[in-house]
Amino acid sequence: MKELFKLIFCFAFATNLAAQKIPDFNNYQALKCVGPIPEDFRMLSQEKYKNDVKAEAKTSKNHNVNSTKDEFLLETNYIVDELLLSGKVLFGDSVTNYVNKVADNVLINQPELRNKLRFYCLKSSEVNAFSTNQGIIFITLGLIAQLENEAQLAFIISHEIAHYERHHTMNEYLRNQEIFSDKGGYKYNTYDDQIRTASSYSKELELEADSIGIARLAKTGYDCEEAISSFFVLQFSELPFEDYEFNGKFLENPVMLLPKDLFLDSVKPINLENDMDDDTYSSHPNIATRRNRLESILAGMTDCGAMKFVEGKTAFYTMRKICRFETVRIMLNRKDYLAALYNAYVLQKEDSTSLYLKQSIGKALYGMAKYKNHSQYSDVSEYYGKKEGNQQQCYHLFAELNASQLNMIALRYLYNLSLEDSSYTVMAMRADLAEEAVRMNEIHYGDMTKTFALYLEMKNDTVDTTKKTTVAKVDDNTTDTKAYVSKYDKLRQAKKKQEKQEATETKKSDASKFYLLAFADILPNPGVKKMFEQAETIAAEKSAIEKAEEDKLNKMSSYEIRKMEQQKNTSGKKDGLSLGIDTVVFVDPFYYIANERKGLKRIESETQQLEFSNQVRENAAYSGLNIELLNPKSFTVNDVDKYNDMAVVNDWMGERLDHEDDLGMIPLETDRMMPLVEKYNTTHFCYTGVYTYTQKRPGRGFIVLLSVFMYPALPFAIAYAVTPEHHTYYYTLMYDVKTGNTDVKNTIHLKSKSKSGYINSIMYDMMLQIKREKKVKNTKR
Amino acid sequence: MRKTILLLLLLFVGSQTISAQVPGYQGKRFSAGYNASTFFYIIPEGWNGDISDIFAGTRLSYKTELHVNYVLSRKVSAGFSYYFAKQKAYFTHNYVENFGYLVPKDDYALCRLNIFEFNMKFFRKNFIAPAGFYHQLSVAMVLYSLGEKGNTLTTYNQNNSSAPVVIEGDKDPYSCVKLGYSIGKTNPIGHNFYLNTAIGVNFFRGGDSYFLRDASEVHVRNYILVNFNRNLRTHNLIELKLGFGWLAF
Repeated sequence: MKELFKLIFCFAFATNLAAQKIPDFNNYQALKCVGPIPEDFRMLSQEKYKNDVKAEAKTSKNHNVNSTKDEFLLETNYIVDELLLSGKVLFGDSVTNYVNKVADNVLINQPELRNKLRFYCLKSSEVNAFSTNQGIIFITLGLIAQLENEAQLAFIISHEIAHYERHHTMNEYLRNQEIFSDKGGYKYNTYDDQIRTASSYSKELELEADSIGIARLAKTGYDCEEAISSFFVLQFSELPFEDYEFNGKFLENPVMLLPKDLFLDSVKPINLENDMDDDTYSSHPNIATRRNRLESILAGMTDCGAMKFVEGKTAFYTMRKICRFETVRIMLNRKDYLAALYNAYVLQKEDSTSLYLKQSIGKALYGMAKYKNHSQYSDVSEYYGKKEGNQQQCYHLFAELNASQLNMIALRYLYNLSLEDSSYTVMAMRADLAEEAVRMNEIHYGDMTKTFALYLEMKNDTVDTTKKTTVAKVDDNTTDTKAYVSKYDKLRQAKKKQEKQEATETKKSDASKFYLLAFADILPNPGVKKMFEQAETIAAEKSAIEKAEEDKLNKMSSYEIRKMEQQKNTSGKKDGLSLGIDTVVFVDPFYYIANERKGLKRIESETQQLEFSNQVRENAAYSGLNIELLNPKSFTVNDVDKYNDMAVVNDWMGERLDHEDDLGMIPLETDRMMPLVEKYNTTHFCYTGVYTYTQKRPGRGFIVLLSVFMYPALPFAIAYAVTPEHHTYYYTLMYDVKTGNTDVKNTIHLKSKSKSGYINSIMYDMMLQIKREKKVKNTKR
Repeated sequence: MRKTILLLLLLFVGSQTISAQVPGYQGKRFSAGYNASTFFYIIPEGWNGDISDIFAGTRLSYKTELHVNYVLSRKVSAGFSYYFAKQKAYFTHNYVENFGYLVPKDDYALCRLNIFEFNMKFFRKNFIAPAGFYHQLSVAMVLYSLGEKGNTLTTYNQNNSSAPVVIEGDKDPYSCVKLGYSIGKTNPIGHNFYLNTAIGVNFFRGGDSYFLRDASEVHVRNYILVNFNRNLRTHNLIELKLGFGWLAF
């Protein structure tokens, strides 16, 4: 009995543990970083660069670092740090922890090397992995989403470690600098030759990394054959996660069926030919070459392992599933709606009740409908003819649907979703599409009821016709064939027949507007009626505003129109804006200093960026604006929540910037922003920063020449010629994340150096404009 | 003249109407400061047109300016300045009726200047008052008088240097109006201070200049005025300003 209790206890504990590890895929939440922020994210780039230079100097013979190496160390540190602080890199989360465990297994025999390396996952749908000179290895979620087993991941990790071990990134950079600088043996090469030489070297490095990678893998117990399989995976990584038949049934309802002509008779089969593409100008060898090379190496190996999973099958499949769910979100974020929809559809085969997947499909439909309504669908779609496998059916269907059809299909899907999930984003997307259905596609509730009535009539007609035909046949048998029929009776009968035929045709053509049946099965539902009533009201208001603006424009002269356009910009108004906003979250303020001759000055920019962040705080205090500053350069070890918040805001902003303002689209990441809206008690998030550059003055020679003839002006001309021209741009971009509307979109250009006094002055003024209450005009009667 | 003052007043009133929401520099609208104005001028007899002698008769003029400034709106500020200086005036109109050619003892006489100026700064596109590049319009009352000890100027007849002629300066200072335009920039340093640089041009009109309409009528009574007035115009036509200030509140 005691043993039984122990067993039950253990089982309960184990179940609990498992429940903690496996996320709830029904209500899936996007991955977040966990735990202390690693030093890679916290140390300033200039410190890293200085450390690297010191380390490099120690290893070199004369304790000097040449300028090319120095440049490489500077650039690479800053570029990697930009990535680390973009919010796209994960640490401490389940997938990154898993990758680290696999890396531990791969480097089980090389503990020293393991200590030098850091592995992070990158939130990208691309299938890729890369290592840096600093010992950071990035694995994309898109890559893990496509792999078949842990051994394949182990090989890829081993391959990337080899790049680090052999300093491939630096060597490639140095070689490329040599090749493209027209020096030494490359002096007389054409540009074409230079590219070919550079890519040839890059391919050599890839093959070397493959060889080292497989050799290391062989010593770990992982199945080396999977290294070859991983190339198979890479070859088909452009395809969706799985290849399932797509028939669009989930978009239909009992009344509205998608017409057959929207579907292809057959889809293009997947090309199974080996990848023998010409790789002359490619940085990587083609897959066939790499596979053959590995096969020959493997043939000589005797001590290779056979384990496909070391951390366990469940762990791998769970991680892969997480990556797949994440990839769908990333696809939505980068407007790859069709891929997101098809992949979500594929994932539904396993998780049919997942609300997350339904939301993803709803978002994809919303995105496509919006772009189609605004005649910009080509921006978010790819030609279906290029697609292979069953996904082609999906690409074809949405290419064939017109704006009205897609709008109504998406609206119905969102309506169903809203019954299950009444979150702000879903409701907002639903309301937006309903309004566009009315205003842009002229679909009204009345049209739908009429169409449904016609549909019912036609259905009855079909039944009646069948009955009548039967009766007629009976009558025909009993009719006296010799009965006299006059010419006029014949004509009357012919006319009636013609009219009946015309009526049937009209009904048929009305019925072809199948999208009007999108709500046919739930038309009497008060929710549907209310939704359309609200849409009608909003649409009428918008139309009235549009018409008023149009009328106003028609009455205005071209000069007045130009002036009005200028005044839309803040600087065009005397007083600036008056937004009446109390609290704003400033995200990732930036500061770039560039020079025409030397390009971006990395170190100065970073130093100024820190100073600029302080200025944001100071001016906010002076202006009385409540702010929260999410500056990744100043995060401390325990600021993981801020890092996660910044990542969400960056995702939202990235998506919002991708949509044109005219589109009026609600960013699909809005649901992830809503907790931040509550946390920071504001819907206003702002990017701000400075870009300043120095260049030679134009026409310097001419001015000096001219001043020779007007010699008193010569000192001024010389001063003009020798001093550079400065330009400073101050950017402010602020959005209301709830509506997606732009609060401020402003670029201030100063023809001057970026002096902190000027920046303070502009920044303070901008904050005042944000804070200032709107003027209320007194209307005296 | 009246029109100019009226125009400036109108601008002031116009600015006041939009000054309900004034930003200033980090909320500071009032500033006070010091400027040193200077520029090269050429003593007419020092340069005969020869390029090699271009600097031979070149001198520097100085003026000291104390000013206060108040931000009226995002783009406009108004200020009051007080200038004072003792400038060396080289006399060129020497022939005085009944006295012949009179020359001051040291070739020059000290001219004491007191200028009371009202100015308005209009900040250039994208700059917010009081920081950045601006255009300044000013109108000022200029009071100038003999700055020599005892309010007397000792002169000699060019042909008879042994007989000095002492000319008394007028009790009341001479006056004229200065109309000025300058472009400059105010560069805040930290939160409380700023540096100012500007270059401007001044035109002197009105006041006692009606005495000068006919230079041939130079006599003892307007001998100092005639020469001072001419010097005033040439020495202060262009000015370079360098200064600093305090962003007070």
